[in-house]
Parts: sequence; structure tokens; C-alpha cells
Amino acid sequence: MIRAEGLTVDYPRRVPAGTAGGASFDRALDGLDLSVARGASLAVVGPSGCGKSTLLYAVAGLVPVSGGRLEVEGRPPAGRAGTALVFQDYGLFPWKTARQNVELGFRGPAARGAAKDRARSLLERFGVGYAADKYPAELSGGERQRTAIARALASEPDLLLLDEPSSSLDALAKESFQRAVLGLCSHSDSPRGLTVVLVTHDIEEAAFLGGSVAVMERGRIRAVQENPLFGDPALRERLEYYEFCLGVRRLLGEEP
Amino acid sequence: MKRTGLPAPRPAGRSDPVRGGFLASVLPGAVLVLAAWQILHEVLGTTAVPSPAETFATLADLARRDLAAHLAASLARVLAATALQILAGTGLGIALGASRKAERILGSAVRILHPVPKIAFLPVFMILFGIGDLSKILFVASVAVFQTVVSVRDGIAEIPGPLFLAARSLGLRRPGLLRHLYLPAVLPRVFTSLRLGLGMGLSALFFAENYATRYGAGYLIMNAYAMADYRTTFAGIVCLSLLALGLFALADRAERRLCPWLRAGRGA
Repeated sequence: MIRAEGLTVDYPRRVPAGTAGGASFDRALDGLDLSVARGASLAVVGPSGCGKSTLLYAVAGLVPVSGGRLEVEGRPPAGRAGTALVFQDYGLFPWKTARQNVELGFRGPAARGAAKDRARSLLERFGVGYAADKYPAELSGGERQRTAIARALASEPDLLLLDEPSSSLDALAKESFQRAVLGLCSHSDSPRGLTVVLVTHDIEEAAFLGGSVAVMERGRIRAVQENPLFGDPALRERLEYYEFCLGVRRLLGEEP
Repeated sequence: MKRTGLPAPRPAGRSDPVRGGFLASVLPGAVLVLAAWQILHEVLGTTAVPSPAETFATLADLARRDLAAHLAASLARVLAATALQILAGTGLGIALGASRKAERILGSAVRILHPVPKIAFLPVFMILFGIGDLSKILFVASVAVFQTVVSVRDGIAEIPGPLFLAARSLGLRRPGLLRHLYLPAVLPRVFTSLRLGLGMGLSALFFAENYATRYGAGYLIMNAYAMADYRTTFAGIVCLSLLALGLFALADRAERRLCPWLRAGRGA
């Protein structure tokens, strides 16, 4: 599904006018290798600034690749219709109601025909059908996040990218949101099989939602840990879950 | 849940200065202005400042004659100029905000022309576009349009970066970007510029209506002034003010209708 070899992404650095320009860029991804199989669910953890979000944006085709190779289903990622991205701050349009935001996700004229009803049922599927006619400013963080997911799924993607999906949710909203995403990751109802990549700085979230967990550091993947426990909604009640988290924590080099 | 001592929760929505109707919202100000006017009239004791009562009597008298024709002429000119202001200003503002090329070529021209006193160009407008309504409308629009251009351009610059990424990841192309991102993002700015432009536009209209016309509130005022008919002068000023108030009320209504999200979630 996703194949990255020596992937490098540089951001141009803003240099004061008149300064002699040398190599004026920031390297966000530095020769990153990664392979994600179709239908798999990968959680990427790492400290802030390690390039997690850039990796996601690159896979979504939103930032240009500076070096190396990056392919999604064998093709460059830009403009791919099957990729959907949920942003850290949800990226909802403030002038559109929850339902209108979801309608924006539909692709193609055929899909727009019954857009209203389909948008409503998508919102209902994520438990926010009651908020369909509210504006984002009237929604709680959890409701916004569910709306953003519903919008992402409206395009019937086969690749779902989540950027820090629960970083601004309170503990209860976070757990219920994570259970909803787990339903998508583990038994996807997309006929082609939904591939999920999420980036997070929350190790427990990564262990809950990732079939494998990749540890990222300074623009590269340092290690990938298979997660044998993945798919159990009652995971938090099992001791092995916390052992797995501890293992990831050690990989991150921040042993408590 | 214990809630004693807390005031009843306010209904969500912007604390609305227009609650209870537009008239109720301008009543205190109107009383204040009328009182000050009456005092000025008493203190100065000159016919150049007639009393409010005299003025309104004259206004009622005018209403029975050709007031409607004067008002209609001014209103038509102002509405046409405002339509031009919105269309040209929003278009140019979005182009400047969204396209680096447009900003490079046209941006400096806008910055140079914005502070120029456009009032001074009325003769040029009359030479180029004739002495009829067209030159007056274009003249008023040219004064007000800069408010919209600058507001809209700044509005585009203030669209949060993540929304652009979201729009791109949703596969929006140029027409979609315009419809779903740029236009709604700048619409509140258009209304603000409309209010600001209206004040300047009416001043320009007043000036323009002193030339080559026999109808319009501006003509009414200055013609009466030339004949030392100060009551009619003041009646005309009141008339122009009421026209402006009505247009402001219209802009408020339109904004509440077209930008419902602005009132959502405030105070929540």
C-alpha cells in the first residue's frame, strides 16, 4: 500500500532578505524507509518535531518529496482520491455545519445526489447525528473529531491518515473516540480493506490502535514493533498491554 | 448538579445589539442627538440651525412634494455603486490575497491609490463617463471599493493554514476553493467593508450630486443652502441620515442571514 525508500522532505527556511543564501531548508524527513501493507494499521510514535506529521502529509501528497521514493499503491501520492486525512485540529470549515462539512467529503456527481442523507447517516454512525445542523463552533472537541472522521470516510477511502487524532480530547472522549477508530482499523467494512496510519505522541493510543507501532526519531523510523494484542477493545484491562507500552517507551528512550 | 447562585444560562448566540428590532437599538442614540441638536438651536439662536421640530415639519412638507424623487435618485445611485463595490472589491481582494502574481502586479497599485483623495477626481470621472448617473455611480464606487479590496485581501491572509490543507486533501480545485473556502471566509469582511464604505460613499454621493443633476439628497441640501433655506437643508441632511440608517439595517439583516456561523457558539 505505502512504500517509502530513503524518503526525504525539506521545508524551505525563511531567510531574512539580503542574507547570503546557503542551504536554507529544514530537513523534516531524512532518508525514511517504511512499508505498510494493505489493510494494515500502523501507529507512528515519536517526540514532537521528529517529522511524524510531515510523514503523514507526504503520504497524503500535501508536501512535495525532496528526495528518495514514496509510492501509494505504486503511484506518487499527490492528488490520489482514495486517501483521506484527518487533521490534528480537525480542519473543519467553520462556515459549514457538521453535515455540510461531511458533504464536502463526497467525490463525484453520483455521490452528491443523496449527499444530505448520506452525510447524516455517516454522522449517526459516529454517534454525532444529533449535531448534524450545528456549526463547528457549537461542537465539543470530541464531536468535532467525530465529524472530521465522518468527513474523511465520506470519500470512501482505502487509506485513512490520522494526525494526533485525540490529542485535544479529555480522557473519556479520548477512549470512546479510540474505540470508534478501532472499529475502523480492525474490521473494516470497506470492500478493499481500509489501511490506517496514525501518528501520535501518546504511546498508549499507539498500542491501542496500531497493528504495528513504529518509533520515529529525527526524520527516520528507528524501529517497528509488531503488536500481537491489537484488535481487542478491552485491551486496557490486560496487563500485557502495559508491558507492550513499556516496551515502546524503552524504544523511545524515555524509560520511566 | 448544584447550580444555586448561578444566573440562568444565557441562550447561545452573539449578544445581539439589534435584539428588539433595529428601531429600538437606535432609539437611545436618536434621543441623544435630538437633545443636543435642540440645545444647539437654543444656544446659537440663528436661523442657520433650525430646531428639530421645524426641520421635521419641513420634512413632512417635502414628503408631500418631491422628496421621494430625491431619495429614489440617491438610493438608486448608492445601491448601484454598492453592488459595484462588492463585486469588484471582492474579486480584486480575493485575487490579491490568493495569487502571489496578482499581488506583485496589482498590490502596489492598490497601496498607491488607496490613500489618494478620490473626491478630487470627480471632474475626471465626468469627462470620462459623462455628467449623468454613470459617472456618479462609478465615482462613489471608486471611493468605497478600496475598503472592500483591502478587507478581503487581509481576510484571505487570515485563513488558517490547516484549512487550505484540508481543502486540498478533500480534492477541492479552483472553483471549489472559491466557493467553499475563499468566499465564505471573506464574507464577514465584505459586510464590514460595506458599512465602512457606506459612510464614505454617501459623502462622495453628496458631493457628486451637486453637479449636473436636479434630483438626489445632495442636490436638495446644497440647492436649499444656496437659497438660504436652512430648514430644507436640515431636512435633507436628516433624510440622508435616515437613508444611511436604513442601508445599515439592511446590511445587518443580510449579514445575519448569509453568515449564520458567526452567531453560532458565541457565549457557549
